[in-house]
Amino acid sequence: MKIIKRTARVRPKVSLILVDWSVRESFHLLHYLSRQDVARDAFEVVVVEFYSRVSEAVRKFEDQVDTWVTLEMPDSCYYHKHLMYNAGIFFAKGEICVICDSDAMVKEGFIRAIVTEFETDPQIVLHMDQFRNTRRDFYPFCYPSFEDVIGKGCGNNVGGKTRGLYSSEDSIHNLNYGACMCARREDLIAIGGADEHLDYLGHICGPYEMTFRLVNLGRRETWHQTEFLYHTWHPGQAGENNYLGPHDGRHLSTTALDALSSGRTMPLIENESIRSLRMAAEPTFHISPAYASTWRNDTLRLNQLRADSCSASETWRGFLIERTADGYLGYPLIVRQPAFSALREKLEVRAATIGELRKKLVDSLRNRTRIALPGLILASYLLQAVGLALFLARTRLRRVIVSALS
Amino acid sequence: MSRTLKKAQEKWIQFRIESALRAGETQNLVVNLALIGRMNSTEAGRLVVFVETFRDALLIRILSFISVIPRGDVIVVRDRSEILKIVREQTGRHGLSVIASRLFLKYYQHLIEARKSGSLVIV
Repeated sequence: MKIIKRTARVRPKVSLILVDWSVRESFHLLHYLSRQDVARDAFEVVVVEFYSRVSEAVRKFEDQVDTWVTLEMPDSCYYHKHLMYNAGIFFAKGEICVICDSDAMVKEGFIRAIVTEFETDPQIVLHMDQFRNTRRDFYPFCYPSFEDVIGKGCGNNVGGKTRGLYSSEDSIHNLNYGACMCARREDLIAIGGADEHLDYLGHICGPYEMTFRLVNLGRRETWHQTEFLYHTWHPGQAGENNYLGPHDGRHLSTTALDALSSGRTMPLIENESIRSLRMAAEPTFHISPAYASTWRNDTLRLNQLRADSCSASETWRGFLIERTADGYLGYPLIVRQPAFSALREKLEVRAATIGELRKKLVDSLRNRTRIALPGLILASYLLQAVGLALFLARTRLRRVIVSALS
Repeated sequence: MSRTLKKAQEKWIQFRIESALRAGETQNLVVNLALIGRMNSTEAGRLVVFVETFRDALLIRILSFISVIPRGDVIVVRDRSEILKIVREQTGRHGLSVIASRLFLKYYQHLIEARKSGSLVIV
């Protein structure tokens, strides 16, 4: 790891953490940060680069950067954004950490809006949604006006607000959780920082993983209703040709979603330096040497959309199966919930091999359930097939009606 | 590969992943309801199961009819107002509410408190 630049700012209120893995062509957020309506000492900018590149795009705005770190990971290693988040949290001096897109535009009141929200209620995790414009003529970035970005080519502008903010359900898929996340540094350290598990390697990751665990910790998730980020199109923005970890079909990490539904607050793999901070020690930033081999490019299947391979744990017929040092451990999903947590020891099953464990888990069910299980598995797939058939029938019917009317 | 073909391929992969997750979730729900039934956890009050589709509700009703899972109410949640109403109603009663994780994730901001209180179990 190399520190290219270190801040002289003593007590900034807000620390902006911007990450790069030698891909960013533009860091124009820094241009907009130079125009904020708060004192410059109120915030700092921490830039973390995964490899060794000293980015020209950052160099252009170097006067706006307070801390600039290159993690110097080997080129043979695939990028892991969560390691960069942890480096950012570690080097941040501000009370509030902000993880956001470095190629987005923000208005003059951006920092003030964040500070005001946390002054009103410190027990929050704040997100800001993003207007996204698909016009190709804004690339390479040419400093369009905010009106231009929310105008022609913007698919999610509904009367000056993002579409996601109007949606009353499935906010997880309707809002952009990766655009901008703000949380108190103290809270981020309390949950062990970002999870450095292999499941988050590559494109399927984001600060929302920490948001979900902060919500489990008791922080209130809130979305700013008037302040937004503005993003213009650039090649590769949807993670094309990237390695994808386990996700739900809509590029949201199933491991992060599982953390939310299970109520877990700590990461599966905690960064050692963040742990030391949590234990009130004063460490230096440390990167596990094992990552150089476990995150190697040549061991990954690039551009593969996968549901559950290489996952932290496997869900199998209502049970959660985890790998332990001496074999496998399985237990029903309900014991992760407060109402049944006391029964965990009683319902836990251990075995040396996965086959043996699965047999033991099935044996732990009542005879009637065991007999019904194959039928149930068949029925669950048949129900999905019925769902697809209904969907296709509806679509076909709609087409027929539309063509008949026209 | 043409853009349309690429998009169609992406949609197909999305469908495959989503349907595998949905099928897995139905299995999770039924197996865990069977375990709840075995532990007689609902002796103190009634069991309410929240699901996302009428198909899931039908499957659960059939399985409870043949006593694979305990008997209780099965409620299909179609929108946010419904879930808020149901959760408010549930918190005032003694019993256990079980919700499929996919449905929980859709409305989690409104359901976190109910989970903390122990009256809501997510499977």
